[in-house]
Amino acid sequence: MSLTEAENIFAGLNEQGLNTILSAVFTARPRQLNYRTSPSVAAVPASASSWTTLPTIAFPGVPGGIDYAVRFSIPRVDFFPQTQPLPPPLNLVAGQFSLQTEVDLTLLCSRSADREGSGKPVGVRLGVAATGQPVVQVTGPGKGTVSLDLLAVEIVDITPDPLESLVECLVLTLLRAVLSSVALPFESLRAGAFSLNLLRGPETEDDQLKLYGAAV
Amino acid sequence: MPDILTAVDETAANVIMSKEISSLAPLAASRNSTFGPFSIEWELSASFSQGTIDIIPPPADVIRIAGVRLSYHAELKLTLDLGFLDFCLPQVCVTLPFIGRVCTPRVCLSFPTIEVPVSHSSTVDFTADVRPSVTLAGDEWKVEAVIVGVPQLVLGPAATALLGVIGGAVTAALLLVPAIGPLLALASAVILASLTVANLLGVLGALLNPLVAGLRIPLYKSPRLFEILPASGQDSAVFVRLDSVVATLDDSGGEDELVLAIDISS
Repeated sequence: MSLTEAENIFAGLNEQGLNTILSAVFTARPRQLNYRTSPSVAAVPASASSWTTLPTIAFPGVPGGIDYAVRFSIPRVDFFPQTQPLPPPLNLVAGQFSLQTEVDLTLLCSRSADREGSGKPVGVRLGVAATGQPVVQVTGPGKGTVSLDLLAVEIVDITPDPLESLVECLVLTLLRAVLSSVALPFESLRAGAFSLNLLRGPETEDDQLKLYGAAV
Repeated sequence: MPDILTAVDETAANVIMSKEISSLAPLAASRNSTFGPFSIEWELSASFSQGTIDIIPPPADVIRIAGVRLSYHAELKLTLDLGFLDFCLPQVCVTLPFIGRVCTPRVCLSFPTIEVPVSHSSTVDFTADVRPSVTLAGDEWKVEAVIVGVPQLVLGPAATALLGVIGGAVTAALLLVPAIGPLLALASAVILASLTVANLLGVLGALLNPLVAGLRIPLYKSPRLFEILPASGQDSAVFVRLDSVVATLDDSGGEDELVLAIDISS
């Protein structure tokens, strides 16, 4: 089978290429992986621009609200067919990708009612596995973006099961939001070569994200 | 497997390369040539268009472009030194009875150097074989289709037409030269004998062949530091480095394709 198949132009991004791009994006923009209510939650970041400041969680009787932090490591993607192991019940099928990352969830735990002068960070690092599918948005002739949407997250070894489900739901929600901030232009997926009007794709197979189209 | 793999089939290559060929900046060439009593300054501009693409993978390993049209416009300035027509009427003396010796004055005619402008436009179609060439110049990757060998340009009809145009312009210019009347036929004969189709073919070929031989059709151009995401709000632009670019012609999948393989690093 030719690369262009029934179409005229093909662009394929290998999973290693996408991981290089994700590494570049999140290294240049660390605040898209780091969220916290104040610098005192978890380790002090390199600079103010390396995290996104969030409001505290308001709760009646908690002065100033609850401080917390969420930090993801740079995710790594595996396109179908499966190369990286996945914990059950996750299963990678054609058209999908899997994703591996770690998340640090930290809470500034206050032991007295007075928020000032107290608070000890309590955190946990969890390994996260997920599956998802690429989502395309066409914005004009030859123009559009591809982003990564998650379908399911699995975090192993949390008991009881309802707690695992709760944490997985939380992480899925957060990670989906993180990934939505990375919408890669078609031009980036083909390194500027051979502009195409998208006719088919994105498809994930042969360890690649594939776009098919016609000349603009 | 390369990080990024892109490919076009012949249908897309026809669209892309025809567009690129038509977008090439006009080329220019100039030359001076001398033929007998006159010289010619040539100023020539040329552009390319059309062409049908045929990707021919190894072992030929070329992209054949049939029917490329080279359109050119030549501005010629002919300088005719009519000195070869100069002549003197000899002095004639006779001895007359009762008058003595009588001589006619010696009369000489000098003809000027005249300039004749000639404009000429024409086209020539040719078939060229090109091959992708990858270069990293400074911090820019370029893939261009460059000519493999110089195609034969059929310039005979153009040279014949040009000769006719020059002949007409020269004759018209000669008619304006004072006192040339009796010598017009001689002047035209000498000049046009100096200027042949073969002469013009030689000059046209010398002007046009280098333009064709230097033909470079852009296929891909990118800075080595490629912008993946533009700057947005407080976020700066994100770049990856293009470490290698490889261009090949391939038919392993059963269809002739031009393939670019690109490796990147962060």
